[in-house]
Parts: sequence; C-alpha cells; structure tokens
Amino acid sequence: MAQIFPRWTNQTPTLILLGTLALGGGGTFGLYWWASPYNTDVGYKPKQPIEYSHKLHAGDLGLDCRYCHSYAERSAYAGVPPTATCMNCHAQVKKGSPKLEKLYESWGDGKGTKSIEWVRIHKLPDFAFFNHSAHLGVGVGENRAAIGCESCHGRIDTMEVVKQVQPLSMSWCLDCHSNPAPNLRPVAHITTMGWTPDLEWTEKAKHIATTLNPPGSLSAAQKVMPDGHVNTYATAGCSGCHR
Amino acid sequence: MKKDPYAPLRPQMTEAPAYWRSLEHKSGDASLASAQEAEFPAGITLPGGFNRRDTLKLAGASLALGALTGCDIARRPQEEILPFVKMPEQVIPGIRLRYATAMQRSEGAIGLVVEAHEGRPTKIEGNPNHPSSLGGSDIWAQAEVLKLYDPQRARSPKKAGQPATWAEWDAFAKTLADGAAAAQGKGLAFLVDVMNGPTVERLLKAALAKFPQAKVYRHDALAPTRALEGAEMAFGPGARARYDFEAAKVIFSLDDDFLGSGPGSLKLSRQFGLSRAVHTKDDVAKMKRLYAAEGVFSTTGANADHRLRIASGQGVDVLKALGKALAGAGVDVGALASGLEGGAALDANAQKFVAALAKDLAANKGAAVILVGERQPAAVHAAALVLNKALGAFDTGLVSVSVEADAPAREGLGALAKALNEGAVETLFILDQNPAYAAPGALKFGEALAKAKTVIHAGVLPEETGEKATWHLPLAHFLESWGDARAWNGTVSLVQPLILPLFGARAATTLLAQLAGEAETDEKKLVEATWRGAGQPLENLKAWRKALHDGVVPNTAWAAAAPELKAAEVATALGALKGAAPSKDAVEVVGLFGHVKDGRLGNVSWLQELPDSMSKLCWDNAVLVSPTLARELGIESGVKRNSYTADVVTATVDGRSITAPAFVLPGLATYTAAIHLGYGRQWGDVAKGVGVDAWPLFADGTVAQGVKLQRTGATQELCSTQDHFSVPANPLKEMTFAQMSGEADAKKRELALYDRPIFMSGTAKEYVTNPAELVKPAEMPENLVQLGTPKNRPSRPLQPINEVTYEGQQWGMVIDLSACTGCNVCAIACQAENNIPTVGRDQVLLGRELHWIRVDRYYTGDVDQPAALHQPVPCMHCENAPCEPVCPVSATTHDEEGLNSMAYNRCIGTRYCSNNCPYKVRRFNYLDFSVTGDVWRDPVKNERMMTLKLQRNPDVTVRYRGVMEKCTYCTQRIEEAKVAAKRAGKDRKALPDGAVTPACAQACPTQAITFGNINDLESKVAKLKMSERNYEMLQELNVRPRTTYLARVRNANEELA
Repeated sequence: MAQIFPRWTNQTPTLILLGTLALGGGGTFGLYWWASPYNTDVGYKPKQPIEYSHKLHAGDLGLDCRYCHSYAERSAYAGVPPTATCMNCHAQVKKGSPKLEKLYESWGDGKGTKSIEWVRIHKLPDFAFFNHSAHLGVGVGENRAAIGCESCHGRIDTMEVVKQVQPLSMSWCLDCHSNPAPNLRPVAHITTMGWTPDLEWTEKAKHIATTLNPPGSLSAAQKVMPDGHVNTYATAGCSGCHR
Repeated sequence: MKKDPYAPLRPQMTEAPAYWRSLEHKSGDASLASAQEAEFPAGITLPGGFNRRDTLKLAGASLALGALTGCDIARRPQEEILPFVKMPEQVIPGIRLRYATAMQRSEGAIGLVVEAHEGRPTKIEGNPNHPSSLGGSDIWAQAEVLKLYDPQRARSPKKAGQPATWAEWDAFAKTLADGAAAAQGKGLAFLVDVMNGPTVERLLKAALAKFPQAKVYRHDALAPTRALEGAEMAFGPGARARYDFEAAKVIFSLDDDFLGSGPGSLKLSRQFGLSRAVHTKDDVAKMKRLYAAEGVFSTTGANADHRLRIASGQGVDVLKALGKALAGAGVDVGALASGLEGGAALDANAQKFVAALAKDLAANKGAAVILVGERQPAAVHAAALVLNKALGAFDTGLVSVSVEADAPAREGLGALAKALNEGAVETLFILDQNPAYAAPGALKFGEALAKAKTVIHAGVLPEETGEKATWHLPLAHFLESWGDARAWNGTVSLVQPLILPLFGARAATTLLAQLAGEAETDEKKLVEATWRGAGQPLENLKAWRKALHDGVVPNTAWAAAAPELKAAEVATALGALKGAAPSKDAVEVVGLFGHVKDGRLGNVSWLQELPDSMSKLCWDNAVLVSPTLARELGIESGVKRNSYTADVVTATVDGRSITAPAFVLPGLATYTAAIHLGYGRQWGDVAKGVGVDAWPLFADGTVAQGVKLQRTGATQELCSTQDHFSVPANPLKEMTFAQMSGEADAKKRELALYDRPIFMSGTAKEYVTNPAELVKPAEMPENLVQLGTPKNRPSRPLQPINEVTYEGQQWGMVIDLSACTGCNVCAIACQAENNIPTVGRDQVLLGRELHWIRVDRYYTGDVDQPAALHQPVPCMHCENAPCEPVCPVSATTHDEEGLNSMAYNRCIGTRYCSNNCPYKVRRFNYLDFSVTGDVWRDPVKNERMMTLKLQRNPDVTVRYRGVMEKCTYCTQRIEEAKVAAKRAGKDRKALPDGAVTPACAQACPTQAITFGNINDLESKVAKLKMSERNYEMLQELNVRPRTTYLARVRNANEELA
C-alpha cells in the first residue's frame, strides 16, 4: 500500500512544537519588550509649555547645567529653576518675544504667583529613591569621582526638545552599580558634555570602582573575605534605593 | 469540630506563665491559645458586608475590563513640575529644614524642633535646649502635626453655623470692641487656658485695662490647678513649686503620674530613667528609688519599686500617716504636726508601706522628695510641700518655689457657669477650649452656655462648642502662627510659623487684639511688641534671631524664691480634710486623661489607635475595675479572638450616671474604678461615637466618690490589644514539640522543653551581688551558649554565626527596660516618621493594627497587686532571620550592614514571613489604609483626607494594599546620613557614632533606646551590648536578633520585699 502521507510529514510534530515555541517565545518576548521601559519610556519627549531649547542654552551658549538645576550637588533633586532664574537674562534678552509669553505671565513683573507647568520627563516610581547629590561625588579622598549628567540624561546640549534616553529601569541602574567604572569621571567634569576618558583615567576608574560598593551591586552582594571565602547576601542593600 | 491530629502531642501548660499579658493569658484561656495558632484566620468578613466572594466577583470583572483597556496601561500619566516663581530663602527641594518653636500647654510650654519638607511640617521632635523637653517629646507633642492637617478644620469663620467672611468678623469685632469700651466691658467675659503665652497675657491685661468690668476666666482640665492652689496655700499668691530629681534618691509619688504627664514630666522622666539605667556598681548607688501610692494603675505606678494600692480618697490619710511617721523618725514637721491628726487608720499593708517609706525618706534627708497628684486636694499638696521642706528637699534644689509677680487670678469654669446662669455674661469669648463637651457634668455647662447672648469660639477645630457658638473663628495652629509660650519654670520660647494657615485661620493674638480694640493686630508685630521694645530682652535683632534659632529666650526662667512657709495655715487646712474610703456599694470613680486628653486630641486618629499604656484599650474607653470588685459585682469579660466581650455597667452618683462597658484591670485599688475622659464625642469624623462620655459623672475635679456600679445585663465589644501579637514564652515547646519528642538526643530534647522568660528583671541587690545572673545565662542550654560566643573574636558584641565575619558598619539597637517607662512615644514617633496609617477600630478588632513598634505590657505576680512591666518590641533585624528564607520572592532580605530590609514593590503578600516571625513584628496592609486612612469605605471622606497627605514623610514609601511592612531601623535616616557623608567627601561606610538616630530613639524621653554601629567597639550601642544586663529575647531560637534588651533592675527596699 502506498504511503498516504509523504515522508516529510514525520517532521510535523517537531515542526509544530518548534513553531509553537518560537511563536510563543517571540510573542512573550515581544510583549515583554513592548511593556518594558525601553519601549515605553525611552524617547519620551513631551511638549513643554515653553519651547525651551537646551541645545541653544546648554549647547550653543554654554550655560552650565547647574546654573538652572542648582540643587543637583546638594539635594536628591536637581531642581527645576524658578521663574526668577530665567528672568536673570530674559528681563533684558528677547524681551517681548511671543515664545516667552508664559514666562512673563508667570513672572508678572515680579509679583506673579503662577508656576510654569513643565512636564516631567524623568520619573521614577514612588518606591524608588534616587539622589542626585549621592551620584555627583562618590568615593573618598584619592578615589573621589562622579557620574556625569550625560551618563543618564544623554547629550542634552544637542537636544532641541529634551527626551528620555535611558530606560531608568532597575536593571539599568544595577548595570552601572555593578560595574561603575565606565561611567566614572573626575568631579570637575560632572557637567561636561561629550567627555571621553583618557587611558590613565580608565585605569584609575577601574580602581575607584572597586572601592565603591554601591547599593545593589554584585560587589556588595558577594564579598570576598580575607580568608578567601565568599560571603553572599541575597540582595545587598535594597534599602539604598527602596525604603 | 475536626480533631486536631497533633492534639495529643501539644504540650499542656502546666503552670501559669510568670509574665502574663492579660488575665486570660494567665489562666490559659483556650480561645487565646487558638488565636495565637491561627494567625491569619480564614473567613473574615469585612464590617461593611463586603466578603471574599464579592471580592472575587469584582476581581473577575475588573480583569475582563482590564484586558479590554490594557492597550494603554503601559503609558504612565503625564505629570507636571511646578517650580516657584521666586525661590524662598533656604528652601531646597529634597532637603528637610528644622525650626525651633514651642507649644503652650496646660502644664507649661514644651520646646520643639519641627521638621519641614518643602514648607510642610511633617515631624515634631523635642528641643534639646528647652528645659522641659531636653530633646525628648511625648505622644501629645508628636500628634500635633496630624491635628494641624485635620480635614475638619473650618475653611472660614462661621456665624450661626453659616460660613461668613473675615471682613464680616472684622466689622463685628469693631462694633463689639467699641460697645465694650462704652460699657466698660460690662457683660464681656473671656475664657482662656490657665497657662498662656506672655503676649496673650499682655493682650488680656490690655483688654482688662480698657474694659475694667470685663472678666477673664481661666480653665483647663489638664492644668495643675490643685498644685498651684497648694503652693499658694503654703507660700502665698503666685507661688508655684518646681521639681528637679538631680539630687534625689528616694521619691514618693502620692497619686501622681509624673512620668506620664504634668509639669516637667519629660525632664523628670529623663532624670529618673537615666538613674535607673545602671551599668556599674557605682551606678547602683546612685539609683533613685520610687514609691507610689495610687488608686489607679499609672505608668508611674508601673515603674515604682514599691506601689501601694489605695483609693485616691484616702490620699489624705496616707499623707497624715506619713507625716506622723516622719515626725516619729526625727523629721521636724514643725507647725504641720497639728494637721496630721485625725487621719483614718490604714490597713496593715498600708501601714507597713508607710513605715518603711518614712524610714527611707528620713534616712535620705536632702535627697528625698514627695510629689502629689492632681486628684488630691490642695491642702495635701501644701502639706507635701511642708514635708518636703522638713526633708531638706528645698536645700538641695529638689523642690524650689518661684513666685510670679502679679499672677492673674484664677476663676475657673464653675465661676463662669455661675455668672452665665446669673445672666452676668452677655458676650463670651472662648479661646481654644471646648467646654460644651469637656466640662464636669454637674456644671451643666452646655445649658449655661446657651444663656450668653453672643458666644465667640476661636478654635483650631470647631468641635462641639464651635457648633453651638454664635461665631466660630478658625484659630491658627501653633505651627501656623507667631506667638510665644511660657514653660512651667517661666522660660519663654518664641513660637514661629512653619506654614501659612491652611485655610486662612488667624492667630490667637490677632483675635484678642481685635477684641481689645488694639490698633496693631498683626501677629508677628504683637509678639515683637512684647519682646522687642526698648529695654526688652530681645531688643536687638541679633538676640531676637538667636532666640528664634535656639527656641528659648535666655534668662526668662523665674528665679527660685524663698517665701515664708505658712505651715500653721496648711496644718489647719489639712486637719479639716477627711479621707474617703470607698466600698463595694460606694465605689470611687476616677476620671483619667489618656491619649486623647480631655477630648482635645480626640480627632487625631494616631492617638485613638494607640493602645493605652496600661489597659491596652484603643478606640474605646471603659470603666476599669479591679479583679476583686469585678468578682463581687459579677462583672465578666470574655475574650474573643482579638477583642473582649465586656459586661456593661451603669455608674450612678447624685442622680448623674453613665453607662459604659467594664474592663477588668489588675492593679487597681480594690474599690477604685477608673474611666478615661475625652471619649463619647458628639463631633468629629474620627472622634464621634468612639467610647463613652464620662464627663457627666463628675462634679468638680476628676474624682467621684460614692458611685454605685451596677450591671445592666448587656454586653459590648471592647477593643484591647493586650493579647495581640503575643510572643509565646516557650516557642520551641509549641513549635517543635512534635518532632522533638521523637528526638533521641537528650540535649535537643531539653532545648525543646526550654522555657525562658521574655522579660528579664532583677533587683539592684541581685545586680550588685551577681550581675551575670541577672539574665540567667546558666539557664541557656550549653550548645546555644557556644553558638552565641564566637570562637575567633570573643570581644565582639554581636557575632551571629561563628563562620561569618562581619565587616564594616553593622547596625544594632539596645532597649533598656530599666529606663523605659512605657510612655508609648516611640510608637507615635515611628508612626509619624514612617507614614504608618491608622486602620480604624473595625480593623484593630481583627488584629490588623500597623504600629511598627508595639509596647508590650506584662503583669507579674498577684492578680490583685501585680507589677507591670513595659517592653517595646520593634523588628529585631535577626541575623538568622526566620522571615527571609520563607519569602518566595526575596522581598525581605538581609543587607550588608545587617538590616533586614523590606522591598515593598517586590512583596506579593503571601504573609509567610509574618507567620514565621517569632516576635510577631511584621504588619500587613490588608486594605488600602494609606490612601484613605480609617475611612476606607467612604469615597467622600477619602476626598477629605487629602490634607492628611501633607503630613507624609517624602523619604518613606507610602505602602499600598497587600504589602508587608515592619520596622526598618529608620533606613531613610541611615541613607540620609550616608548621602550627607558622601557629599562631604567622607566614607559613607564609616559614619561617626550618633550620626543616625531612629525616630523612636530620638523621641524617647529617658533615652532608653540606643542605636548605632555594633561593630565599632567605641560606640555607645556596642558598649551596652557588652553589658551584663544585655539579653536577647527568645535567645533559644538562635535567630540572633540585632535588637537586644537590657534587663530591668528594680531598686527594691528590702524591708518591703
């Protein structure tokens, strides 16, 4: 009797299984990616009430980040400048420009009380506590270093409208906490945009990184003891960021 | 009922526990034992009738809906950042600011340091510079910040119950002031507190000068009125006595709860507590000894070395007997001798107590002091001052008297009621008081109030009086206004605002100035006028700023004076006093001021939910009766799972009566019953309907004699947490008996049957003779002792498991049970710091309260005359934490500095950790308590809770439903200190000792809680860990807790032992 099914049909169950796995896996991964901050948050670029150009101010004019975000080194929040800061220049510069209408409305000749309603771009969930000042000066003495603004916020000096460039997810935080060396830079260069380390600094940063043990890092979770054995903590220092 | 397969193996309790939490615990009540076993019982129906089945139905429906709308759940909502237009000076978002201020209270001001985040006051601490705080605080000071944000504060003035504008009030006040000036103030009366800030007093004086016929009545149920009267009887007008325990050795408290409240309570607690925290034999010699004679069971009684249970009415007899015994022991009582006659004979027990006490007092002349409580008549206060003088207490500064020049006369509520009834008062201005509710029933003040033509009530909250008044004026809270305040010893503090009035309220000074027709009504200028005029102490700006910064105005304390003692007059007054011994048919009922005081803090849910120090009742008050009286009257209370079913009784005296549930409280004098005042309110979203109003029972003061108690036959549910989260004294016995009984190893079998007390205490003599025996190390099985002693580093205070070496900063805590007075402030400070919501009465009845630190109260000894001990229990941060391995998602883990940290966002709510916690310190958010507070069912009320959110600490996560939480050692404060170190370029892993203080330790008036790095042998906490008194609770479990206790040492008098 002739074969009813051709020979290749022997492979069908395997193919179906593989196909299901590929589709299921692909679907799962797709959904995961779609719902992850890489998709939802990176590139978030809301329209701001005033068309403020970071490219113009921070890039072309070369204003230091801390001229406006003045609390970055002192507080958890870098701070959004009060209207008065803008008025330091715009009391003279571009006076009467229709683009600055909302600014003058807020200022109200020095008597205004209405805030400019900037739209928040970088937002962490309420159970995660990030502190700017803790990142702008890490390590002690010789090993003092910092994380630069651009490491997390990107090349602000090139952005006409600011967008989020990093996912701000927990795994993204922990990548750096476990291996801070590539993102370390001298404290003097916190706000420098496009800073690249030289060979000497690269080596130094590697050394500094071993002294830091930031919360949640692998180096804090797995400690090599003087006698050679490794002490493991399930997750070291959750309370550094979650409290 | 299904048979428990383990029943035959479960060990039977062979004897009553040595330390018991309740009478039911002592008697081994079966329903309590089963409640302990079933930590999370199934089938709980929510009080609103919303059950598990409804929840599932809704959950199913919302899942289906969620699937439909899921397409945009991933995108977060848009959020705005609103910067200031002009940045206020000093404000940095994310950095907390602290300002010194003060709060005027009945017993004198208390200096405070208030923390503000971005302009919101969030937390109150004591001011170390202030003589009546010394850095400590109490529950009432801590709770004020929640009162500030009370959503029921009036949004505008109200005229006859209808909203009015301030402009209308201004017009009215002008007419009133003009009219009063024309009539010389006839018919105008002010009702103010007994103690007021100097500016308020100045304005009152100015008003009286303008309106000579106006009257100022001074009333405050909480003010030490009798103490003032007593001092004036002994030393003349304006006199007041102040106490200082620095040199004290023997203290006798006659019905006085000086550790709980009253003038200088925090200072006296500090001095008492520090002397009890003994670390060497020399310390023992300096230990103060406390005797207490009282009818109720107060925290002072609980901390006393010897306590005599005697009715308040017999206080005068005790004092007379004591005076005589002192005279007999060679103390020269002078002219008082004649007044000491005529006291009723005391029973043998009391006689023995008085004899031993007199001997001890006489032997410690110059270091002995007698304190008398507010329930005693003025003559007893005066006589005690005479005895103090005879004991040399005035010579050594234990007692000093100051005389306030031209002290205002004190005409009280009784005089005002009389004047009102006579129609002599046309316009009554009430400054932040609530006499329509909080007035003794016999005065019938509510009726009297209606006789005034115009009643103007200025109050932070409207309350009952504000609702009845012609005008209710929203008064600015002290955190919102300028002012000044005077401490009991006269020290003045400036009150500075931390926030503008939430709803446009006005300061007391402004309102008084308006009424007095002053030209200046600005609150700050009024205060400046008092202090910054020519020749005034703060005339120059620098001095003013320094006083604001420090929180005290220098050199304003009243100097100690030496007025002549009128012993003969005191003797006459004392001789005329007769004691009153209560009996079964004529019971003495005492009104107590508990957590809600006289009702003024009734709308503060923190205080309603805080269990009382002794009865552990919360969201309830009850007639507290002694076990003997309960037996004689047939009163019973049956324990339910987490609550009590209590018999309801009627208390009747002179035709006035109240009906309230009765609660049996061991330690009360046999025929003394007590009930907390301030409950049964008619007003307040939180306060209304909680408990029973006990004010009607009282005529004058807070003692009613000859009360008839009768059962009504009805029963009522009472909310007491005394059996909640109970730690079994023998956990191994209960948990592993089944396995252990089959264990061949005799050592392990022994371990299983091990029964070690949770609370360790001993006497000073035991401590001196054999300090190591205090915590009974010999009772520990040998294998555990070895586990506890590390091989390689014997000097380390904590070496949890010998194989692991701990490096760097290792946090730990020590709680000194000798110093702890059980005042509960740690619980409220923790609640304020850590955004802990209240859950409401219904939920407490289910055992769902969320306090991270609970203060366990144990009794020990005889049922009628027990000793009580307090033990604060926070999370122990165990090294071998049983909660950690059972978490399926690693939400609770150990960090490298020893914190047992809790990642809320990881928690999925299995509650395994809580189940496995031997100390029962984990708390679960069964419902969304944080968002809606205790009114979780009502969306309208939820809306009104918005202001309460302003109190939240932005450094602590607000937890949502379904999440486990517990003490974090205030990890946010640790992180803050670390980040500060980083900013300064210092090592965050080597913080100096004292860089981090948790909220509980900061608030503690006796400094009983010490926190720090136990790996630093020089740190305070490490030194305490190596004390001989140090012990671990449930050490036999080998979980190695990082919070340990120091055994309590009592300074017993051997004659009374």
